[in-house]
Amino acid sequence: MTRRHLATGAALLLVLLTLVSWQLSERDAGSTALAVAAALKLAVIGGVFLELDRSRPLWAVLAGLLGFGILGGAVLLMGQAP
Amino acid sequence: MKPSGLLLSAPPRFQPLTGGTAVWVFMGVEVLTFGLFLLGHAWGWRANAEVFAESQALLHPTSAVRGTVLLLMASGAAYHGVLCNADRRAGQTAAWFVLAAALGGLFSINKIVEYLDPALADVTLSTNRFWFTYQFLTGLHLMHVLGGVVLFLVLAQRARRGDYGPENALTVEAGATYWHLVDVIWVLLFPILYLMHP
Repeated sequence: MTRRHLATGAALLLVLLTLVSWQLSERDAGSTALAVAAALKLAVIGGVFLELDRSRPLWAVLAGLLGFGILGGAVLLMGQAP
Repeated sequence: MKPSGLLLSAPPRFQPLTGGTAVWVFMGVEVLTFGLFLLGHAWGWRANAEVFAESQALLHPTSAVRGTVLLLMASGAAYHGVLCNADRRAGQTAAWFVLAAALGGLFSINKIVEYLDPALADVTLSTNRFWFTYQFLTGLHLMHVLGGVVLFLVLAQRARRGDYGPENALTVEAGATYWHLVDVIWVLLFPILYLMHP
């Protein structure tokens, strides 16, 4: 599989995950499920388009902490609302 | 004894970040700034759950889904442009960047149309905390998108002129990286502003 095939597959997967998020929301799914779908999108963008695999692992860890931290934090904070 | 050329030219185990470290530091700060606003927004649901729920119900998730798809397709086009540049295909690099710019332009039009409803209902930044966060963050993001559209058009013109190639790929990669990180910001904005609620 070439990078070109991978890029096309990634773009389609991202669109699919967006539609899944939308449908989850329409079915009143919880924030956790929506955050997981968004986290998967971040992982695809980071892994394929940003080629994080070719850099030092520390960068991927930092990027993951930032992106997943924001999503996880939002879920936790919303979970405390009445 | 003179060191062998093989040792001196051995590639590093890890290559630098795509597009160079500077664009990553810049965009890392941007993601952190947007992220702190989003966490503040999530915190806001605690004290203003009713107002937030009423305000969120006025948003158009369908329009946001359309916008998300346009942005993500633009990211795919930008990455194809980077790959074509690495293969010395200047014409195709330019074509992919023009496509990315067009998709970014469509996202911007979609977003402006989405702003019309609240504007007609006299909703402003100061209406309530939900609308402040929504309009401020999506408006700031839209400015980043418009900047990216201009950037892609400039990159396309220069690529067509033959300014880039595998030996001179940093600018092309930095432009695409900027766009992917603008996408990352939207991937965070979309569920937290439009879809999530307690």
